[in-house]
Amino acid sequence: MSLKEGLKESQVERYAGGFFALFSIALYFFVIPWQIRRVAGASPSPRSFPLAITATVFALSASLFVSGWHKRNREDQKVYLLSAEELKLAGATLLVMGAYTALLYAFSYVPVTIVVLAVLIRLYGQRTWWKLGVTAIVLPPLIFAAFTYLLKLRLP
Amino acid sequence: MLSILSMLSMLANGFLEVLMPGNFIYLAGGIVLGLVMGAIPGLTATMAIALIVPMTYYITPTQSLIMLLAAYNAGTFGGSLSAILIATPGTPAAAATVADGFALAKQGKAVKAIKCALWASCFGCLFSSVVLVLSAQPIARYALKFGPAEYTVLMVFSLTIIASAAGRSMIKGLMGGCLGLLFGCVGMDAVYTTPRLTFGILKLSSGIDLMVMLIGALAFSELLRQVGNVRGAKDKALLPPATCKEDNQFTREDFRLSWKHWLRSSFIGCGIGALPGLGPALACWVGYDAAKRSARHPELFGKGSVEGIAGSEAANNAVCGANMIPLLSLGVPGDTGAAVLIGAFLVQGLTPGPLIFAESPQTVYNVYAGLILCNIMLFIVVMLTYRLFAGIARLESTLIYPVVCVFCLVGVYALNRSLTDVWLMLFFAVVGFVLSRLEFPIVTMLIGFILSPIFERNARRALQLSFGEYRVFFGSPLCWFFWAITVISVVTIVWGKRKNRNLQDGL
Repeated sequence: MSLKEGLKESQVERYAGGFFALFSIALYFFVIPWQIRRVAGASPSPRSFPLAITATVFALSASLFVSGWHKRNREDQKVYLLSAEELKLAGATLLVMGAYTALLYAFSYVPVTIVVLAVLIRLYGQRTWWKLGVTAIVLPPLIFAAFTYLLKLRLP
Repeated sequence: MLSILSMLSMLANGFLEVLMPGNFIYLAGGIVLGLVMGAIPGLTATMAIALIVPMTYYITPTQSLIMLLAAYNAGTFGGSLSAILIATPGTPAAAATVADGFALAKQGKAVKAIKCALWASCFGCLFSSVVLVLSAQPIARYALKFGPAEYTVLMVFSLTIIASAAGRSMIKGLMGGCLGLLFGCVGMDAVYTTPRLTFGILKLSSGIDLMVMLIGALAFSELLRQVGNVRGAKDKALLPPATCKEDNQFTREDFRLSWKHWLRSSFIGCGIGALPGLGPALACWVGYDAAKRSARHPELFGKGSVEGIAGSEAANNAVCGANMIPLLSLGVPGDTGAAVLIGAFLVQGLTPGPLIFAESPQTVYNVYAGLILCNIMLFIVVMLTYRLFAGIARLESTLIYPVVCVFCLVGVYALNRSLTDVWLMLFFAVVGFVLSRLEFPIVTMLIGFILSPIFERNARRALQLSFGEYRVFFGSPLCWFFWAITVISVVTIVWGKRKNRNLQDGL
């Protein structure tokens, strides 16, 4: 299986069903007992609702897995195409936004936003330099002014 | 009689309140922002209100809610502008308008198509606003009789109908709803004040903020999906000019052809909007189909039919008012747009549900008045400015998407002035992106998240009152009624899907 061939519906159902089944087991036996303290005499206890939902997620995941298993030989399945370009751009956007957030701990809003806007506009394929420049340089001070003076809200 | 008079008096006060310059400017601002965002392909009406919410943190509830409703309504209509002008629906709700709207535009009748869509949209939304005014309070009054057990079963019903309606697979829909319920558990336990699933992060003690999740899972994840195609986007060709005066007018003949479709589709839109989870994207197709079946010229559908535009546009805009019915009367969001509006209500310190009519009745009537007035304003604004939107609809996505990224960050930061919220937003963006790529409906996760505290609070209260007896959920005729409609709706939908598949197999 390669990215270009995509994933068949039955594969997606089996993988997602398997993943969520394991996820719900981990939640039920490890994460919830670790993260939610037992309260003596509490009925229903703070754990009851999350545990009930987790059990439901497990039951649904198992049904999804079984449904995928039954469909595995069907010819007319929907194919989920995973375009490399799409993944690359979505991943790059997330990376840039992560870096943007991290930089805001150290630098002020306007200069960081100018750089981030310029990077994103270029990343998305804008070749006209004046459009890139105008958008990246004019907008951040405007947003900053609108939030600071109109909405009385200080940005980082 | 007295209650009708008091309703009318509060509605009249609502009109006066909304027409005050300090409030009216927000209504007009909401319309303009909604139209602009709706007209840009890729930005939905829901995304428009999610991005506008941060601007409303420091204004009054009336100003905030009328601005957001105006943006929602105008955003839903705005989608049809790009559908007509560049054959790209600005929002999913305008998908059915593309065929006839763009066909008319190619004949030099773009202005006529816009005017047809505008008349139909305004009529649909006005109609559903009237239905909302007449029905929400009586339903809410009845809902006040619900005990915790009835409320719990009602939540189960809402979740199953949303899950079954929101996508191809009911299991995936239900799983999305359960994930939302789980995310809703994060924070302090309401009864025993013990932290739950906070992983030692102090910020999570107060739970996950609804707006953080909405902007992350809805707006930003949608953006991540859209940027994949941004490099392949081509500039659209210019449309031919009108050949005669009539090409730019909504004529008497157009009205004669359209009015029946407006009425029928408004009924359809109201029905779909009042049921949780269905939304305007479905309404436009059902309205279009109903119009085609009863049209005087069905052969023109897809080739530039005024009746087609009337059918789809009246239906999708009728959803805007109608999905406020479950939101205001029961606290259950009708679709993602209504889910974001719940966030806006909560930010303003208002909790949607039956008690809102007792706690802040005038605000509710201001919202009604705002919804009605925003249709009239929308009509005026579009009639004056439709020529501008050709330019807006052609704005390059390489410039729009980065700006939206920045707005998502600013919007989330502005909520609590916390960069931790921004990290959480990015986390939900990844969750939303992955789930939607695998066709897990995001709407069910969001609605599960919103319903989680209501569901848990009522279920626990019912169990405490009955000393842990689970029979309490089957103890009253109302509970049985809700269980029965839950079973009927699930069976009907599963049967419908199976029948559809068999039909497809047979073809």
